[in-house]
Amino acid sequence: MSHSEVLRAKVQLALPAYHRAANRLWSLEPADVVYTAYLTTMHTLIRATVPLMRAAVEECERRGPQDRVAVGVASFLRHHMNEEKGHDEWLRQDLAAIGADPDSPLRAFPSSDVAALVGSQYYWVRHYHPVCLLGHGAVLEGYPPDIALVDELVARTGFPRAGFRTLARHSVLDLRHREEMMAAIDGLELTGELSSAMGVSALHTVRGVVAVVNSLAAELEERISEPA
Amino acid sequence: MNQREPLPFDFPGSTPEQREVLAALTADELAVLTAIRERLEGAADVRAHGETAAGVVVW
Repeated sequence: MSHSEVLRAKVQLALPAYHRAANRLWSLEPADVVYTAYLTTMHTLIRATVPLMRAAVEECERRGPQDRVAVGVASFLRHHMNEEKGHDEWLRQDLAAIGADPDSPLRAFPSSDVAALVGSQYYWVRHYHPVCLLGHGAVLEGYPPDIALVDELVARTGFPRAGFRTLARHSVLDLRHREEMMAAIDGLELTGELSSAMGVSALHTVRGVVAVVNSLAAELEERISEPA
Repeated sequence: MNQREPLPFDFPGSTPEQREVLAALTADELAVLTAIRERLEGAADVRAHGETAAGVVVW
């Protein structure tokens, strides 16, 4: 099996938890409240994407050309970073399009679950090896919401379709990005230790996403159940 | 990476490729996977939903 096939097989072992968390969130009503809170939470995650990639490239450069894996990681991330720029702004535009305050994610304190999910990557990038970030990205870009979910949410929320551009674009974009990332991973001269580190990072990302989504769902369930 | 203990759970229905990957997991990978599986098996609050809810995060 190739490096990317092994990585995806590892992630697949944990995917039922990911899908169950997703189902829990998307089953909640009223969907307009759920979707607005979802966009805010996603902003706290996505606004760290490009800075995290920059940190990884810096670490790759610090390691120098003798670290061939780092050279390959940096080469991929320098290109990929440009594809990820501005996605936090898409989320703010979606919030504005559904009549919510687009600045609300900037005022909200990012949850400890988001900090743990993203912060662990900074740690591994800076203090172990930047290849760990590819395990993280393989999960976050590997299983985007389907376009059918967008149609369903448009119907259930009553919001204009213009408020779903982030999800709609990623349902297409992330599939291409996934293929590019898998090709980049297959081009790396990974040792067994680095392959395992990337696997730990990917599985930890699944666990982190499940925690973020379940916390959001629990918070919404409590809010929704409170008497008006 | 540390050597690991035997698998603490089964993966019924797993493919030959998955079994190959499972057999090669390091202790560090297995520790995270076990934590996820324990959470999954205790997830009594999960509700059934349509197939469209396959994803939830974007990057």
